[in-house]
Amino acid sequence: MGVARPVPRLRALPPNTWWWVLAGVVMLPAAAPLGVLAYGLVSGVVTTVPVGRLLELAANTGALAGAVTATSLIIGGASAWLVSRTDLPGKRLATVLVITPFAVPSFVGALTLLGATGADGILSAVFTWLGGGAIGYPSGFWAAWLVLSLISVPLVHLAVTPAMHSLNPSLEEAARGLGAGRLKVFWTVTLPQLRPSLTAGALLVGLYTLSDFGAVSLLRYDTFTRAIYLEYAGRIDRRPALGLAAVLAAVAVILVWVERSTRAKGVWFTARPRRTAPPVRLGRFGKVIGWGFLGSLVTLSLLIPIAVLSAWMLRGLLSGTLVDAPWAEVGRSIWVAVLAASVAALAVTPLAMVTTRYRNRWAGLLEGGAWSLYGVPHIATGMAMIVFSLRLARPLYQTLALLIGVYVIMFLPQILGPSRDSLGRVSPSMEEASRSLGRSPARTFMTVTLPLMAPGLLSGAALVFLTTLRELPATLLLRPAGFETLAIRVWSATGEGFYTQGAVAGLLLLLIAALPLAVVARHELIR
Amino acid sequence: MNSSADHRPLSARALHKSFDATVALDDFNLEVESGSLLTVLGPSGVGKTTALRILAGFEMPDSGTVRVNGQTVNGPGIFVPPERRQVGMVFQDYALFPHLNVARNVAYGLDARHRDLRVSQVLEMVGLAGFEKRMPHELSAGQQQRVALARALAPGPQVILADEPFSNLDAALRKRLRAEVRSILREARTTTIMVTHDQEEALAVSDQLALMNEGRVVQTGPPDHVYRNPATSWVAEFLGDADFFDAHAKGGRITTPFGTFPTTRSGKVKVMVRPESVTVFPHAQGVAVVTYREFFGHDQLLSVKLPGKITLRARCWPQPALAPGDRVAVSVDGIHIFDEPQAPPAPPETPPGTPLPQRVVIPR
Repeated sequence: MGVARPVPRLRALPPNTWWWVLAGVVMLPAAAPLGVLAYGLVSGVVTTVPVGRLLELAANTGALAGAVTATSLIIGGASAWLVSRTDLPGKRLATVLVITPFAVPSFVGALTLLGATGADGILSAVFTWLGGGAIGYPSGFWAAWLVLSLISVPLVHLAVTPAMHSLNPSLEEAARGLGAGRLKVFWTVTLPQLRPSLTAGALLVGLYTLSDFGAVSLLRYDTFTRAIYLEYAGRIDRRPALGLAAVLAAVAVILVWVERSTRAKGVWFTARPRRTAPPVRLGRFGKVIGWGFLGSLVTLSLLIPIAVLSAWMLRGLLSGTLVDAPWAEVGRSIWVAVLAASVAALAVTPLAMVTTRYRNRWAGLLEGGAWSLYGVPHIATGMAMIVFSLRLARPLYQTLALLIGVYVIMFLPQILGPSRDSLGRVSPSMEEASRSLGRSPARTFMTVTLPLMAPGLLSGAALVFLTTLRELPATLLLRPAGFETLAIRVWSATGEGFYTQGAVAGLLLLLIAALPLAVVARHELIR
Repeated sequence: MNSSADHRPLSARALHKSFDATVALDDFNLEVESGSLLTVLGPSGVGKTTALRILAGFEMPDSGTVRVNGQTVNGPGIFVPPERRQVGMVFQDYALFPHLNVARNVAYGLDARHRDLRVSQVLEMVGLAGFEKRMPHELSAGQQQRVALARALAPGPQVILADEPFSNLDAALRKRLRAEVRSILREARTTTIMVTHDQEEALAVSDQLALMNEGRVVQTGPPDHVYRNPATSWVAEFLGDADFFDAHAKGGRITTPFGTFPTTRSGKVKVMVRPESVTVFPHAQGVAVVTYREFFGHDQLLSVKLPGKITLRARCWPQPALAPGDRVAVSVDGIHIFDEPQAPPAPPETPPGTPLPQRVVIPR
């Protein structure tokens, strides 16, 4: 054990510089879609869309986003209150049931609605058997509203529950002691404490509705995303599609930044109180009402979709129209999702290292870039990458590599959050301890940092797997020719009215999505 | 290539370090003798931790040299990374690896050869034999601390650095553990540099003290020497209770209300008196009046006012029970004299002042 051969100070880059270089390399591709969209916004491309059309789309999109947000806030707020602040029995089960529809992609929701109604619809058949008439095909605003609201409830539920749990009972008691009635306490003390989380939930839902492509395109409601796709599919001139994508992206990025800033302010409110409030006693009648409410919610958002899809599959089996299951699509879906999750786990590591360890302008820039892209609707990113690859990176056009790359940069924030959480629990002194025990920076990373970061990386990767599996619009635009995934299969079969094929693919999709959700739920959703 | 006559386990010369506008280290010098425990003592924010982190290799000094066992690890154009310094570190938060059990934590810095033997040897030494399979979170704070020590000792480093090692423990445990750690380090014959802001802890465990203020070491020496011969009034006040008053030295003596003391100085001086060297007894014609009393059971602290606006504190036997307003006689068992205005910080190891272990009793 001879001591220490001295080495000149500047022979190699210090280890932290390598993390910065890697993080830069990871975030560099993110500049491509953002750059193209910014170009679309500031150049004349937007002017290829008539102003009247822009306003019409904005009104439609805004109306849907507003209605879905309001509906899911009320329902999600109520379900969060029931499971966090009352003595309702079976709260764990209720939580799982309420958040599971999170795994239902909007195009599967739309398929359910279309498959349940109309002359052939499953619910129509039930109604006819009961002596009623068939239900007509829903489409347009109300159909999209119903599907998206039901899917958005888990988002609000998840956003609000932690804040409900950490409500400080002393504040409410203080208000009561000062002579305020129950109602006044709710409006003046309880609600302001919940407001940051409600705002966060609302913005999440708004953003989700704004970006949704699957439901609005299948249910034929004319929003930005549907218009972008129609413009792209129906014309040689790609400028109107890019123009619309740029406008939509700009709105979404603004929403993301608003959401991020309210979240920062919400920190004060989510501090854990020293004691928790006693649960509200519901009474027997109240418990029946409570479970009745949760039961209807779960029936609408989970049981009916599964029943309708299963019925269509059964129908196909009985009538002999269902001959072959889409195994090739299953394989492709899992393959791209595994690839995206693995690459994302590799890519996020340097980003997590620099943004956890250094709070400076550059870390902020990298993180901001990641979040901006996360907020951009996938169809806009897809549009931008089509233009980018055709103009500047022709060999990448319609390759699997490009598709995976786009998944990774779109979903990086999903894995960044949990990775940073677990990395934040690795105190720098642990790494220093390893160094002073004679281990190199690389060995220290492999034996100390990485094992401690692994749970966060894993649950983040599961989330990326899940999101990739159900991603539709970017896949639709960027996939190699003839590359059909389960999501594409559901969407195209539903669009053509082949509900049996759509239902089988949809059920398989839900089944595969349930696996990572179990991993994610344990680490992320139920805390 | 960097060998020199200096074969101390660790030495630092003329270290400077600034963070943006704040100067953390300003001509910091330190040497530690083989096998001894040196404590760097100073108030919070004087650069103790920065100094320790530079010695360990976690921070780069702006200038200055650090040598480990005679070899330069920090110097002009030289930086040896922490993993090649053979300097062990015990962290304030222990920094145990939460995913490894006790044995694997301790084995972390060891090569495969003799690993198991060394692990059980070191765990035996810190009194944790049989805890090999425990995970860090299953241990008490005191046990975690000893694992951290065992882990740092295991590879046989030249020096162990410890950053406020006892600050995360409650008062009772701290006292017990510091005695234990002290004897473990003795047994291991390790050279240790510890950093703390706790005077009592520093005085109790150290072989050598290095008092630090404003980015530099202002005095070093064995604890009792430094306590009795503070280089500056700052050191005197930081190490224990002290009362000061101005006086005039003339003709080789200083006259105070409680007696006359010989001195080599002349002119205006600053006189320091420690409460434990003051004795009071009730006396109707005494020169002093009790103004305040705190009773502690095993002793009492009295504040007395003397002529010439002099206030002294006296730490004395709990009896007799004196009350504010009582007139008392005062005897002082030695004073300490500083030049006034105060001289710049003396170089380390210079015993300044004039210690006077001479009992002077004022006339009754």
